[in-house]
Amino acid sequence: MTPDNAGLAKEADPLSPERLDSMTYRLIAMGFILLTLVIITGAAWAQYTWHRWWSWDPKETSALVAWLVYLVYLHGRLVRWPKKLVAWVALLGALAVVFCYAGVNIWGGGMHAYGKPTGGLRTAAQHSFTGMDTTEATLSKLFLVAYLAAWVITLGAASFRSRRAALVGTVMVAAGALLQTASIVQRSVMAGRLPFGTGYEYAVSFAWAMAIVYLIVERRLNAPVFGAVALPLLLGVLAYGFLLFPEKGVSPLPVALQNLFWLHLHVAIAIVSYSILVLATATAALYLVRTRREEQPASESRLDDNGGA
Amino acid sequence: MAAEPKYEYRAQVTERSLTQWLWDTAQSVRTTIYILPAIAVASTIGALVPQKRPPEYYTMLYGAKRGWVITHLGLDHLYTSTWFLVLIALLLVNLAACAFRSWRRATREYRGPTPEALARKLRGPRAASCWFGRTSASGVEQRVAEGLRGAHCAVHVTEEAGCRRIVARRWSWAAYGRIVTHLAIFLVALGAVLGMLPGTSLDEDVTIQAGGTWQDRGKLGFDVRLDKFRMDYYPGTSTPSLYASDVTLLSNGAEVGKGTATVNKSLVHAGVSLGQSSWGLAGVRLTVTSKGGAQEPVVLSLAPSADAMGNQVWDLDEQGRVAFLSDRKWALVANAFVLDAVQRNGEIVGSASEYPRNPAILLQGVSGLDAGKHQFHQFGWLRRGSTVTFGDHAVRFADVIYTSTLSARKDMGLPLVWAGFILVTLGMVVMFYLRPRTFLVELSPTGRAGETRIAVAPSGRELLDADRQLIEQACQTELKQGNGSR
Repeated sequence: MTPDNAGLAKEADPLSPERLDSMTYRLIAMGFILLTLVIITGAAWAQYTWHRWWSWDPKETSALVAWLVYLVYLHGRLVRWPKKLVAWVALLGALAVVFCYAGVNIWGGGMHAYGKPTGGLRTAAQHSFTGMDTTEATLSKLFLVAYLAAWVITLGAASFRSRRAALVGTVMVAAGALLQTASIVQRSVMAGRLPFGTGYEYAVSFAWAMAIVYLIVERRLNAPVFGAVALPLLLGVLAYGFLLFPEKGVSPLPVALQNLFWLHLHVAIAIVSYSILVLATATAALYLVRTRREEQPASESRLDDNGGA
Repeated sequence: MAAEPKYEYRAQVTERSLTQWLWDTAQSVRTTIYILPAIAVASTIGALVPQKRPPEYYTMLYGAKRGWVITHLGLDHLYTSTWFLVLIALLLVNLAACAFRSWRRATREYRGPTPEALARKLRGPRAASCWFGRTSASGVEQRVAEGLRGAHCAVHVTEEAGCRRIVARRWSWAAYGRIVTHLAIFLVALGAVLGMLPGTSLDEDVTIQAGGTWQDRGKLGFDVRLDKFRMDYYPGTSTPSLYASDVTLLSNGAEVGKGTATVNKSLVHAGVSLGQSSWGLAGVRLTVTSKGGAQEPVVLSLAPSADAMGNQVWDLDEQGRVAFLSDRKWALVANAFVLDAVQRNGEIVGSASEYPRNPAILLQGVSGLDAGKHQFHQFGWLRRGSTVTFGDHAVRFADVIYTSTLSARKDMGLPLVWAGFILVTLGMVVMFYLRPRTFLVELSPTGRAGETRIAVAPSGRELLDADRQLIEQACQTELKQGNGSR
């Protein structure tokens, strides 16, 4: 299963199905190893704090569910399932990751109650920047605008096939990531720890990791369509953090999170793992769209090329 | 015109014994693919449906029909239900069988093809990749051998019929990565099972009331007395910063240990780890001081209950909300209890948090019990530390009585679990990123002055990009690709 020969072929088409399939596999292979580490560090931390390395808590169980779905993906490739089916499993895996990240906090209970959204959509939307330091609030507004603009520009670049616009889109994401880094550093200094303590902080850190992973993948793929599909996922994570957690001030850590070594290690691996796996959704989705388009009769394709009927 | 030969295809049907079928099914990756989603779906249900609650809870939460389905399918205790355990057992059998099946293949891969087999490939229809270098064979040999050694290859050089052959092998041991990964998961499962065996491990929740002693019945090997339970808060907030139980460990009444168990620091004695697990409230302690100065402790009981959202709240216990004083003339009756009183216009309107940071009790006194003429006296809300006078008595809210639950653990399976976790991670990295490779590099003079033919035969069907890069790197840049027949 080594991705040696699955390496990205030096093809003219940056979004050829082979290339997208290979990229999805590479992302999932890496994300899966990190997801395994998320479960392992979570178990080690649970042993330390809850005195049981595994207690079928909804959060740890949902991480296991995501792990199992990706196992199906990897074994499906091994037994040479149709690649489209495997791509669908990759999408299902990302859904399981999202369920593990947010869904279980909303619908499940358990010992990870500190990740539960603390307010309704309307209340939280009215308090998007409440409790933040002025500098952090300004930086937050700037990076939100940068990411949103990046998406709009990338969407335009993908529609009009403009390389210059695509470059501007990437620069906007990089600018957003830089601003967000400044915001995270500032909050970390204020809190005396990395911003992993509340649902809002976790969402912002997750989105930051997504931006970094996005820039790396985008550099490899060099296709604005990827940004057009992937950036809404990043914006979705930010929307979750900003709109569902009204209180954004630096708050003291609950007793169960006081061990900073495990908090930093576990959450840092989690945000990188989730970012990689969620972004693999974009490549898997593009693979499905691309293969579907190639299956269409030639006449339909020509209509598409001419801008539709 | 010759007639085209007719071919008849027939599916070859081989009869398999039941044992053979079972074995084939057990070691099939397809079986794995059926079991994994089944466990994933079951676990998702388990993550969504609250576990181990009384049947009434499910009826209340999901309605009569769905509640009935949940309790009768065992979805209320999913992870210990027979069908779920059967699924896990099937997966483990499949895991072990797959690892066993992979053993022979891994060993073959570990050994790699013989140099003779590789040499045959050099002359086979799938000719090896071929380059030509403007240098002598010995010069290239030295550089290639050094380059390959630098790339962590074991290099063996031979000379045959004027050709120099370099057999390079890399990461042969990585052939076992897959087996290690699979067996590591098995190891984790084994550790988990060992951690649940009553004879070897211990998993006991020890709940003690402050000041009380938990009597051991042959489980821990010692009794536990809770001297004090402490709950601290971050300044100016209702967020707890510490849960700590000061305990004394006793054996036959004699002290054998003393210490503090917190959430993030367990107290270990005789191989048993005591960690702070949860806390509770047993009651409210009032101190009644009579006119003569005699003090009498009175306890009103508290019990956990669930609010509309299913969250645990602490309320007065129906049985223990009335306390008679020792003279049997007076009684105290509690009507309400609040953990963290919020006051508005002099009235307590609710609780600010789920912690007993500022507890208050709505109290009334009853007098004239001996004379058969009851008289009620409303005291209103009494906060912790405050006093109310009641006839010739003074009633003081001394404190709440905590209970502390310590988790006593002795897990013999833990070393296996950690070893499994480490191995599974290493195994995955090896499996995904390292691949055992063997290839033969044959260097032969072309006959032209200073030109060497460099042919490469890989162990697999084709030369991987990584191998190609490796050889190119080792041969440096003087090479140009050509076909073998030049």
